[in-house]
Amino acid sequence: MVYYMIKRNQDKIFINNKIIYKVETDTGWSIVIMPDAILIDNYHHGYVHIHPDPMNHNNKIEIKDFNQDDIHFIVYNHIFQNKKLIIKKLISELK
Amino acid sequence: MMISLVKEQNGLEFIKEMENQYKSIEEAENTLKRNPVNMILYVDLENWKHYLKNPNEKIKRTTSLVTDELILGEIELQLLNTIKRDNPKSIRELARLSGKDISVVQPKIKNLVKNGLIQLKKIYKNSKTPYLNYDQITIDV
Repeated sequence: MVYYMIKRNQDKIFINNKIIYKVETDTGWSIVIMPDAILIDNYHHGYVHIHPDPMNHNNKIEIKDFNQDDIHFIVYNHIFQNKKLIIKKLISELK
Repeated sequence: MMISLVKEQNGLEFIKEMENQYKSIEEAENTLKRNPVNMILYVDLENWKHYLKNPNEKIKRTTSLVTDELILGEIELQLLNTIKRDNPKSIRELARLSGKDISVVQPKIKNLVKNGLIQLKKIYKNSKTPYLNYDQITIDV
């Protein structure tokens, strides 16, 4: 029998009418906040960044080089404490 | 309190779930074109394409619910156990197997469905089959 390692993780957290989606793959990771469609990832550019405007995917802001779990924790705490997403405040918390 | 539902799937199971949800990759891509801010679909599509090439690779999927309400009492846990262990074909059979009255079981099942802990599938004509789609449930307080 051949055993395959788990290479990908997908976490979905429902909190205060938001869904925090956390995806980890062998090539990078991403965190998505829905329904706001805010994407934080480390794909393509080699640094961690946030796409604050879902209608303009090219708009990206570099954030501090935290690992995925740290960023997930910051996003979770932000929504837990504010009971909503305040994007400018979140970006400052991630910088 | 955070209730987490964990399941491990291989690529083939993941693909089947995606097909049930979106029908086909082409249809999912068209939906994404119409609604490019649907980031969950974006991520699902990326995974879907990956598992088409790696059908035996495993994925761990966790769904967590942050809630202040205690939605899992003794009866709910017993019902979840019975669903997982005995695969009842209907809510009536679930009530019989767990030794509870149907009037007690019905609202509990409704709540479990509402909170995403179980699903109801219409496999038989006049009844819905309760279905537990997870390998593990954890509660963090």
